[in-house]
Amino acid sequence: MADNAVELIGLSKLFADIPAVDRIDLTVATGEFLTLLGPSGCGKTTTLNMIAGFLTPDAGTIRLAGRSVDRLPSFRRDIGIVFQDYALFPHMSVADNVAFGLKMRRVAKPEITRRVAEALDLVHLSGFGERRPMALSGGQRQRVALARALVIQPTVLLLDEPLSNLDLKLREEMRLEITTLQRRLGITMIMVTHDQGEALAVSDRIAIMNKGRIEQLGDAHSVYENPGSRFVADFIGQTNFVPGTVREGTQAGGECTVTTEAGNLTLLAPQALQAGAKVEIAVRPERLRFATAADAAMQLSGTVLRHVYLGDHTETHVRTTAGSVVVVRTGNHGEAPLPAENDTVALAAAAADCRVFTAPA
Amino acid sequence: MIGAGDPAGELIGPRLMVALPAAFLLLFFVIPNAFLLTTSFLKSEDQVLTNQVTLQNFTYLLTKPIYLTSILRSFWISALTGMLVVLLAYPLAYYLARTANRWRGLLIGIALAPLLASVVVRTYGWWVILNRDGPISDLARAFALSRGPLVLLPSSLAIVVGLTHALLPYGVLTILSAINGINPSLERAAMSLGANRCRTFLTVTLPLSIHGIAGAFLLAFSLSVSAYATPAILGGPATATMATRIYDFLTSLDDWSLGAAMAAILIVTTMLILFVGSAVGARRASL
Amino acid sequence: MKPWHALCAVAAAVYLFIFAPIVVTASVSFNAGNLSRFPPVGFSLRWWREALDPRWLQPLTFSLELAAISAIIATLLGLLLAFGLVRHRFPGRDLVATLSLGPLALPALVTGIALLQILNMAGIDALYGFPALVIGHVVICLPFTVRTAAISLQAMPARVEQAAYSLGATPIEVLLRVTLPLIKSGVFAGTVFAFIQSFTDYSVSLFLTKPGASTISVTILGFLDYGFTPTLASVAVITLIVPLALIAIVQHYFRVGDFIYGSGRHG
Repeated sequence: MADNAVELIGLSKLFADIPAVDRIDLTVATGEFLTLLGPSGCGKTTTLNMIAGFLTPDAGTIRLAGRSVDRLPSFRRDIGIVFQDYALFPHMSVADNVAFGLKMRRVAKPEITRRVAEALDLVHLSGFGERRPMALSGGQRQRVALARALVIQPTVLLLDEPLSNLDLKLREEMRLEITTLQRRLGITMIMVTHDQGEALAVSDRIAIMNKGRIEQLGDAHSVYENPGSRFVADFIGQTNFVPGTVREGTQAGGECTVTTEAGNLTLLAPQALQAGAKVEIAVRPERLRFATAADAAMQLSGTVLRHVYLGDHTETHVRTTAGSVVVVRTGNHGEAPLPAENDTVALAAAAADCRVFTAPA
Repeated sequence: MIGAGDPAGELIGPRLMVALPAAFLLLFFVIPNAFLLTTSFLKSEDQVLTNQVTLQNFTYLLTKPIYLTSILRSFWISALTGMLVVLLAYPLAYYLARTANRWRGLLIGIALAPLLASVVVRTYGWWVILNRDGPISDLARAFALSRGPLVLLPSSLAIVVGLTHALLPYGVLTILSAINGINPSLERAAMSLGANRCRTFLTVTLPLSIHGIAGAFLLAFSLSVSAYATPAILGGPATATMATRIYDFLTSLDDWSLGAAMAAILIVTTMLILFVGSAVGARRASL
Repeated sequence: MKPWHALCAVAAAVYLFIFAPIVVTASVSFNAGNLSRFPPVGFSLRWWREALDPRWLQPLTFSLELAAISAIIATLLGLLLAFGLVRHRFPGRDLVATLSLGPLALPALVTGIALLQILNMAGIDALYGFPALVIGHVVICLPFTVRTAAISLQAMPARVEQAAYSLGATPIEVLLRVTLPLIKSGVFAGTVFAFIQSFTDYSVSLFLTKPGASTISVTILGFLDYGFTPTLASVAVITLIVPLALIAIVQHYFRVGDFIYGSGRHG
């Protein structure tokens, strides 16, 4: 078995001369679960469609299990796809839906029967074989789609926003089920989603896409803790941005000094910065504390605007002295009482929790 | 890329797929009609077409009283038919749209069922009803409304009755789909504001279904103008319409240039109605 | 009287108007007298015996054959055009879409005359009768078959074809196992409309028949010149039963109303 299930090399696709996917390089190891995450229009679905063979790339190469598939039509690529709306064949029974790919591969009848039963068992739908897709619930349809794609033992399973049509509870259940299956069967999976929570929960690695390019590639922990760009910091999780100006520039990954309303700070800059550049300091709401800590790198003061109670935590909106609004997240486990509205408060964050990015134009 | 889209297109080729039926329509619909239009501008001598271009055919048809009368008769018959179709179809369509009757589907089907019979067949029934020995005439005599048999045929009004009957299902279809297209909460809103059922109908439903009314009228008009069977059966030489005149030109008179000119007037009329229809936003078929 | 009851009464009256001539025709066919009279005088089956004469059966079977062949050809051409219009973008697409509905917009009578003239000019008189009628009927049936096929294609669930490809189906397998099965009822409905359109037509046929090769509608129309006999009523009822039986079969599979909304012609 090839080490890499999928390799994308310099892959590009133009729509009306505008690059939807712009020279993407990406390698997915066999057995890996990779997620393409990004807002709509970022090129993630276009990338998926090129891997599937539904779109022809304008440049670049796609290799599946080590061999180039650029000249192979979709039906010879040996891929499985779970579509957003499931795309089950409404005129066939559940069993016939699952058997379809095996029939196309001219698998012998008894083996088809056996493997269809196995696949349905795998997704806990034994006994549903004779039903029509229309007679199933959304979650059950999702399982049929999964079984239909898994039964052909594809080189890679592509999942196109697979959970977006399910309600919240079912979504979390299916999310768990898909990861369990993936670990158990060791299948390579590429999922496309715009839901960061989903991406963080299931993926071995996440490729965050923006404007046709991969902005950052890494595991859930690294993309959340060490965002490589302002876009990633903003897109993944919630982030406060405090404006400032660079006093001393630095190389990417170095430390630079920034002047802000909180004074001069020395912070990590994931991207190269020059002196005098307008920047923003990113800090997560849960890393801001109501405190005047001497050791904190960043200290702000402001007025409490309002509290938003959200069950397990409360979000406090604070207008800083310089006029920007930041959000502070505090867990609701009955520690220190929160300041009252209109109170003047001090906020603090550690240097390790702050990142400097170039301000958007 | 193969294996990406329309399987039929990949097997046959998108070009051939469109070209084959389009060529068929071009060859047997567009070109013949274009030739017919051309013929209407050609002079004919002794029933033989010449290459001389002329407007004479049109001026002849539009000035000679017997032909001008036929053209005008076609128009007023069609206008009257259109109005009657709307008048009869609207209440039926409104009833079908609003009834809670559980046989509603069947009632709609029954209203449209006459479309399954040829107009020739349905007009024959009207001949039986309207002829001098028919039930209407008998009734008139029984109630001493007329001394001798009542002569209802041939007449323009009989043609109007026949055409109204033939085109009524189209009127019901068009108006029904217009009424079904009205958001029911609008009527509820009007009633919640204090309008009674009649007022709601007059101030909300009727104005909102006006496009359906226009569509039904224009459809009935354009199909009446070119109808041949009904005027041929229920009318006579004294009630000739454009369609029956065309038939006479081409068969007994063998005059192609006048026949083509009359057909051209028919085409222009229908195109004009289509144009008026789209200008007033009348409901019509769309792909 | 409440306005709603008045409306019900009016609706009932309109139904009476719709069915009067059909009921009258049916009852006249059992008339014992020599004249087409209503109410019928006595009861007799003699007009039905006469209606089953080869003189009437021949044009009837001719019309059935014509309708079947025209409907099949119109369905095939309509299917191709629907695929082209729904699934592809090409220059002149709007024009072709309009053209495909053209035969509904122009009077069928004129289309018949125009075809007659072009056949005359091309000197292919041999085509009169069946071949010319097939051509004319396919022209007037195409709008129906294109429309129903296009509606079914548009209503097809998204991406099932891509799903089939991804599972290894070749284009021909996708077409036969997925696409056609999913649109077949719409296409079939189009075929039935085309059949009825052809079977009940007289406008196009009027000029394209020849002796021995005439449709039932044109034959009845020609016969009316010689007077009205109860035989015609029997024949008329027979021509009514054929499409009725057909629609009864189709209604079993499909809701017809969806496809005739806002389209059609007669008159």
